[in-house]
Amino acid sequence: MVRRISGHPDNVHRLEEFGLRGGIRIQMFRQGNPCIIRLAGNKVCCRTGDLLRILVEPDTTA
Amino acid sequence: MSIPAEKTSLSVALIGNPNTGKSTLFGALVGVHQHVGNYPGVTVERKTGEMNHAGCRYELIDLPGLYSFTPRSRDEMVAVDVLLGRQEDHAPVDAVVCIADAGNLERNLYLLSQVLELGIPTILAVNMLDVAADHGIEIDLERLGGQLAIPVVPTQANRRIGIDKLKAALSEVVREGPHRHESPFPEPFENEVARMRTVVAEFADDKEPLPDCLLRRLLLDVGGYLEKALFSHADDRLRQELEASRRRLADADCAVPAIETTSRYDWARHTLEGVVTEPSEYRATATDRIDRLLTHRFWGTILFAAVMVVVFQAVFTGAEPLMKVIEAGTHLLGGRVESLMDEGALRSLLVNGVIGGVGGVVMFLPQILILFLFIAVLEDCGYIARAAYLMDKLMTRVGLSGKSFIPMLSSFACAIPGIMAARVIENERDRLTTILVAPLMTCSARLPVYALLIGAFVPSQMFVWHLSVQGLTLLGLYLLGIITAVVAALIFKRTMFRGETPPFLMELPSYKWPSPRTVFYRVFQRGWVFLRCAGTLILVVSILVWAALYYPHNTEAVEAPFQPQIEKLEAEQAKLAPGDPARKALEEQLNRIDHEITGAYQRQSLLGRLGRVIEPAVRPLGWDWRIGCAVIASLPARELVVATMGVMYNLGEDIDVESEEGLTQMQAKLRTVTWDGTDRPVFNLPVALSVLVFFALCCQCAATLAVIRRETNSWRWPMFTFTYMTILAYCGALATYQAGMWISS
Repeated sequence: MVRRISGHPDNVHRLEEFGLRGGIRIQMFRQGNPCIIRLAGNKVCCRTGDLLRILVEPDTTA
Repeated sequence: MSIPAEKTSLSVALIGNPNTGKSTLFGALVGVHQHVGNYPGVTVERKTGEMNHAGCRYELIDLPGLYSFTPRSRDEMVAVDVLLGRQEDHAPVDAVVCIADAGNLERNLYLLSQVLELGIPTILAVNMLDVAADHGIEIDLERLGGQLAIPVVPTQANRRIGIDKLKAALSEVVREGPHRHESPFPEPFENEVARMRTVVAEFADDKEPLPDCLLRRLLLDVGGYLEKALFSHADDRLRQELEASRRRLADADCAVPAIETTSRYDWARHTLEGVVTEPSEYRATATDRIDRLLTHRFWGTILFAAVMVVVFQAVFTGAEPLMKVIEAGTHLLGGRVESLMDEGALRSLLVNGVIGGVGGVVMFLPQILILFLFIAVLEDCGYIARAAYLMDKLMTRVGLSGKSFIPMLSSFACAIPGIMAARVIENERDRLTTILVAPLMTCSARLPVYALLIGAFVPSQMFVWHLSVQGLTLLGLYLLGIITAVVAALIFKRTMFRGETPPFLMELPSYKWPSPRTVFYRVFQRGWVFLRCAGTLILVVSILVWAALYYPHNTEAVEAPFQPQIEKLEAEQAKLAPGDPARKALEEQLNRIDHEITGAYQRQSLLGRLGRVIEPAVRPLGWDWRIGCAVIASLPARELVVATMGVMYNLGEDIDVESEEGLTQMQAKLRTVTWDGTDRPVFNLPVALSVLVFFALCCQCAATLAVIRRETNSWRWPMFTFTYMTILAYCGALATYQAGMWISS
């Protein structure tokens, strides 16, 4: 579960428009940078760099 | 274009997130009636098509794939402008078809909420229901239509399912007019919109007032396109008012831009209540199983390398017979024109300038078509995104992203498709960097020059493991191109295109069988763009170079010295019987004189004279004026240098440098060429290497420059590319020659 995305508001907004935002369940498909995550049924390749952090917590309901 | 009050023609925009099957749906709606161009003043591709339904003609506009209207890029600004009729030569659209991926409705509804705000009749086409069903997702479309109060049509564009329903819904929605859409934003935000309406109206004077949807964008997009456009001709008060509005919003817990995603996603979630049923556990699909292999760091990379080998083998070997056919056709056409017309400037212009010049460039069409066929198939089946993922780590070291890899790799076949393939890169700085360094990759047009000079001047001895010095030189030239491109990209990204790297996000679409129709259109459109380019700018450059090599064409001064010799040989020939073996020898002598006359004409030409003028500049590279001339003459296409050198050194214009025998003949003759008035040979190893390095680094290709102009919509970048590459090539050639001479002395 994505808890919070921290970074420049514009970049955070961009990620949110893409569907990656707080409260959403994601699943790691391939670790690393770039990584591949599962997001709402789709797979997304994501490289965030040092200026953006996606903070997650394990989803205990899954 | 303005649409009359009684409309028999309606314009409809197609909009949707990337990878929702929008282009496939567009193809299914309009069939062959597609046109591709550019929006005025920008490089954003404008794809339109025509469709007739129930006695009405529709002009369909396929807008670029978007996640949101936030105008960060030119693509997004163009989409907003087209929808609102703010785009030059385009009236506001009459209806919008918003295409949504059934598997990810919530995110797709985010864009729909922005579209609905525009107050244009809208239809929602829910596409790829089959893929959603594979994931175990069920959608109650009737309920969704009720919640949205707009027509909702299920489609499966790749199998043309739902197309008729969509057409019927289109004529209905236009007749009914727009539905009222409640703003998803909270009250404090709408209060600020009302306040900005008054403030902007004061500044706008007699101009049309900004619609509410744009006022919202003005508040939401900090430093966006709209803000810049308004502030360019307004005083500071507007800026202060806007900043004050945003501060008040932050105090009211509605900070921009976050309030937009919060409000729109809340609206989407509320709309989808009871519409979508998702399984509690994610169900693995065929795409997941394939991705376990194809995105694997080791096996995925090995398979990617194998795919690339197949693609490039096909580009090189598959294109060869077709290229030969085009070449033969050009020769045949040239010969035919030559036999039909009297000798003179017009015949020379048509044969050497128009047919020869354009034919030499059109020859690359098969390579371009084959490369784009592979790219289109791989893109349509979903593999290109995986390739970009695999290569991203490598490309970030150069300051680029994985999306630059395919354009760079394509440039090994030809820089033109490579530069055209750079359109997939949304980041403008990355796209420009890729375009500027792509011509440094060793393209197939450099091979004739390499083959000639390496064969003639580089020793053919072998090292261990059958490695030849010649082979290593060729490899060295390829590496020189790659290393220079890497260094140039790093420098560009740290100087001209400096800036924070935005987060790299790319969707990996589900695998599917490529649609032959989509693949055909993509390949056809790329080929057509190239041909149109060859037919205009390249034609002009070819004619200019031809004129410089032809004029002043002083027949008296050039041919008079040869006349007595020709007359004597012809008289001797007339005395001999038709089958006499001595006749053949005389014919050969006459041919040789003919070549000498051609050479004399070229030496007397404007280009020949220019060659002498620039001689002091090329001397430090070890070149004589004739190499300088050949380099200038090869401006339209670098492979022309081989033919021009042949003419300049009187080696016989008819030597077929494409054939092995012809090449060997020419190599043997080049070794005997000497400096004017001395017996010192022009070519030695350092000179040959200096010419090779020059051609490895220069941008002697009018077609590449014309395509850069087209893709960047400015003359600045082709001029910059030509200048920096020529300076690099000159310095490289100078260093090579001087170092070579120092080592050999």
